[in-house]
Amino acid sequence: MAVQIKLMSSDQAMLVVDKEVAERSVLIKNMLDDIGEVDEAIPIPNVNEAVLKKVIEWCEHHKGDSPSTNDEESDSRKRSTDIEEWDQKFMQVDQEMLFEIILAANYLDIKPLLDVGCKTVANMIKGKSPEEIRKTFNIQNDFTAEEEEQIRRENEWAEDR
Amino acid sequence: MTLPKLPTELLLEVLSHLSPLPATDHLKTLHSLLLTSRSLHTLVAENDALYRPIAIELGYPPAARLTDITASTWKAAVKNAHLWRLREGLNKIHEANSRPRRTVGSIGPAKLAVAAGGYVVSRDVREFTKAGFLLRLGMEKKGMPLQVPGRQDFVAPGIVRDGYEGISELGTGRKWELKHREAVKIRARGDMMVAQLVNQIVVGIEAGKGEVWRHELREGWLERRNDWAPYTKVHDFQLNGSHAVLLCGRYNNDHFTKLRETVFIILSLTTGSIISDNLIFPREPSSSQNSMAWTSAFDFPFLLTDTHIISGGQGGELLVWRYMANTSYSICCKQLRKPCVGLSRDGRYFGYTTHDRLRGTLTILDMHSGRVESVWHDPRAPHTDGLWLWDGKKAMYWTAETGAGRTEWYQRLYDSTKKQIEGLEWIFFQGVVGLVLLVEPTYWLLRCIFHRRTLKKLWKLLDRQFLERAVRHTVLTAIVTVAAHYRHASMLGAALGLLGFKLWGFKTGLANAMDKDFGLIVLMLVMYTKFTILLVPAAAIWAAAEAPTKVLVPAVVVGRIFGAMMVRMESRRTRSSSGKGARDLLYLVNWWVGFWAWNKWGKTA
Repeated sequence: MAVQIKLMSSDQAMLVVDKEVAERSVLIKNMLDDIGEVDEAIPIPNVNEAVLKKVIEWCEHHKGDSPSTNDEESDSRKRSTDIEEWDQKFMQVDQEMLFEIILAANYLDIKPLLDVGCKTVANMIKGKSPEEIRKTFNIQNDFTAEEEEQIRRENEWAEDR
Repeated sequence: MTLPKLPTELLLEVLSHLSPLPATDHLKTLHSLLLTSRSLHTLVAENDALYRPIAIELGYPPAARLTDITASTWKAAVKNAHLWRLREGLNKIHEANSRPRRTVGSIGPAKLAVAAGGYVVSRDVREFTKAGFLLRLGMEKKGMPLQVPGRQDFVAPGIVRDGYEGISELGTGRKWELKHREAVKIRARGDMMVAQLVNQIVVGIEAGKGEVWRHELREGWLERRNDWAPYTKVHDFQLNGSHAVLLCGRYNNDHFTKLRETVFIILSLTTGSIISDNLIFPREPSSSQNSMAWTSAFDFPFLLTDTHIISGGQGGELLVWRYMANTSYSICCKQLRKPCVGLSRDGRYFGYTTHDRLRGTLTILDMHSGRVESVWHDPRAPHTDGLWLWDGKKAMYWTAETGAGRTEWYQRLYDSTKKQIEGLEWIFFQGVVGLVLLVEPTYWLLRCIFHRRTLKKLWKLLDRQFLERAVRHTVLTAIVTVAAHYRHASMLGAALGLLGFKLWGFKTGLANAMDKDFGLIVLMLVMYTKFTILLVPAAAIWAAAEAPTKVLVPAVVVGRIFGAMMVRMESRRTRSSSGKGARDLLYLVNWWVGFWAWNKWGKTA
């Protein structure tokens, strides 16, 4: 039977996961390596229950994946824009959740999940005009009128194409 | 949680995943982000690692800024990328061909200054005292002890010392108390020293008295109506006898990320009061052909005299400001990223170097009249890092391309007598030899060479200082004459001899107008064929070989008319000897029309 460990989210929710799944997180893996077997719940203070569940869901699906260790592989991941079909569906969440997953992946040190999240956001930015980016991410245009006028002039280059 | 609220490192991680895009699309996406909001603008503009690989891939130099690339039209951006590539290639070719003359160590031009007596000394006092060097009239010596005749003169051009703190003596015997404040840059003039401190504070300190004025360039330091760029940053400053001139950028935020306005601010050196803050750089280059919007104002230290400022400008232009009259004019419409500029010691003449094809060009302007005083070409100097003019008669430039450094001297400037002789030489060579060779029977050429007035002019050419060039041209003339007189001899052989002679002259440094003489060789060959219809295109080639010879084509036409008249007179001469005087007169007119045209247009072309 697989060894299980408990994780405590920031909103005090307890989640039980296989050790193999939890160890997709380099943070948790290093912690378990340091303290050995533990019965108490490991606190994850920066991640709430909903996000932690999503992260665990991703880890369970990818628990058999070989961990990438070298920089070369990391670079090759960056050079590819492809996202697996399952990951694409996994990332079909609202933007709030998407950014929370990215933050959680960064905090828990789950590099492949971080890459998937960043690729998803990068794909949402690609080929968009400033106005479209603002609309997509609900960003307020905080340039002044004078700045905007200058921006319009500067933006002509992109409209030339 | 929204995109702009992501931590910077995560935003950069997101943007790093844009790299699989083609460079142009990647650049476009970055540009869109740049224009989305202030926070994203800051992120993209401040992390040049995001766009540098793309810039390099597109052919831009690694030092290019994102705004350089994006703030032009797209077509211009692509075109400039090609031009940059081409220029880099040409520079490499010329670097391989350039021959360093004198190596004087690895001290760069920024640490040099002109002192009394034509000495070049290191501006960095500490370095100078330990391992200084001295240059005078090209006789450089390394490791000389500190010997600065007239310390006042040494200080006069201004002394720069970065990151200096504590008490400064600057090798002048004066002391300015900085009270352990960290200075970014200091300059001294007489008893006054101006220091740019950290946090955008500028102070004036009098020797022995301490701080006499101070400006804290906080938000709203300059009072402007509807100011949309309230933050001011000092990029450089220079002093003259009565003013401290600050070159400032004005920004919309205190991160100084988006330059909104560039302005010179004139302060009284003794009181620090603001005398003028209206010397605002034009937003657009004066030339409509120049679409680049980048500014070169901060790329090199501006020059200051009592009446003028010379600085970079939009699109790489050079700007001359009559700052007390609050006017400026552009003197160069080429795109100069880091031009090499210099002033004569009296502040009257201003020089700058440019790269024109594969040769360096030094242009000297009279600051009072605004006219081009002289243009000097050097095929071995396409790349210059520092330029100094001495007393309006000599100029030297310094290069440190490979850290080794070399010096070259421009001489024979501003000497009107010598220029006249040069003009005569030019006219003799082109006007007499060229035109007569083109339009007259060959024996006329021989007669012309031995004409007593021509000989007089030839004798003038044998000035000691111009001996080499005069001898070269005389030998050339002799070759052409012999070839033309003995028409049965091989003109082709003569042309080849001339070609060999030119190659030898170029190799030994005597010839610097090789293109022009190659044009002459073409003319000789055409003449040999006797297909006179080819004379016009051949003359055009000759004229195109050098810019000032734009006067040559009309001169050829004039020469042709006079030539026809002279031939007619010669045929009459067999019947009457009275035509000799008129013929001589026409010869003189022929020469002097060309000479006058050269003086009028050739020099400023």
